[in-house]
Amino acid sequence: MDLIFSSTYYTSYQSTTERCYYIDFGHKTVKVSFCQLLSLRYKAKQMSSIEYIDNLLNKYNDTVLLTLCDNQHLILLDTLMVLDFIDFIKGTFTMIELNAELVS
Amino acid sequence: MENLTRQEISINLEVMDMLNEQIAKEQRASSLYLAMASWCDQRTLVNSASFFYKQAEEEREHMMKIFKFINDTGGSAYSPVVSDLAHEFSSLREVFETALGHEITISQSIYKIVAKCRKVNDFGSENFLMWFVEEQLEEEETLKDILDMFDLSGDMPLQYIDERIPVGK
Repeated sequence: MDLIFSSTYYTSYQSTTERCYYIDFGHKTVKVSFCQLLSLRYKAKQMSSIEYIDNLLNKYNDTVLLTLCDNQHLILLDTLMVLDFIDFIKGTFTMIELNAELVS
Repeated sequence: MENLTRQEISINLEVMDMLNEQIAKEQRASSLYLAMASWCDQRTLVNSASFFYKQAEEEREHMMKIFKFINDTGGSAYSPVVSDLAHEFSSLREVFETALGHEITISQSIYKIVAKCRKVNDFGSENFLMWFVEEQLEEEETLKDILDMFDLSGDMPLQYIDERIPVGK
């Protein structure tokens, strides 16, 4: 497996032989397809809105339940983990794009 | 590291994001035209109502075209949410002016995506969007012609103007 990106809490890998990706959430590693990775990107994008972060920081709900891979996995994130998750997804896709530039 | 992503998705990710935003805009336009059709229908402006019902259908077709394109090229299309729509208008002229303003916004949005496609060499998406560029020019022209007719009609009764609205387009 090739390392794609690593943040404070999470790490992403690419498995060329299995043609999929892995995300290490610390307590468990989850196998994801590209479509599922895109779905996480969409969720991270929604989480990065000012309204969402304001709600997280200033309202009562300071934790978020993240569902993965068609609800097969459920991950509980606190505020710092949410912020790190947003950076992690951005970093993962930036590295994927950089890799695409390098191999093309 | 092998470029696995390119084998999964044929379009640029930033372009995909912009196309998803365009989906929401087209759906919003469809809902707005439906609200306009309702306003016209309630005032027995039959041809105008028919015009906007057809426009609502067309905008939905545009939305579906983009939606399908994203999924067909390996991306993820997201179903849009539409809220805060205006259902009240002060005149029939205002209805058509609002429609033209909306079409211009949609055209500019399409042009921005085409510009992005060119910047990132996403020729597949650019080619797909050419149909929309042409379609938007037609939509704008139709609405401009209707507004010109308003100017020419002066103080004629609304029914007189409504009878001259091109039904279905």
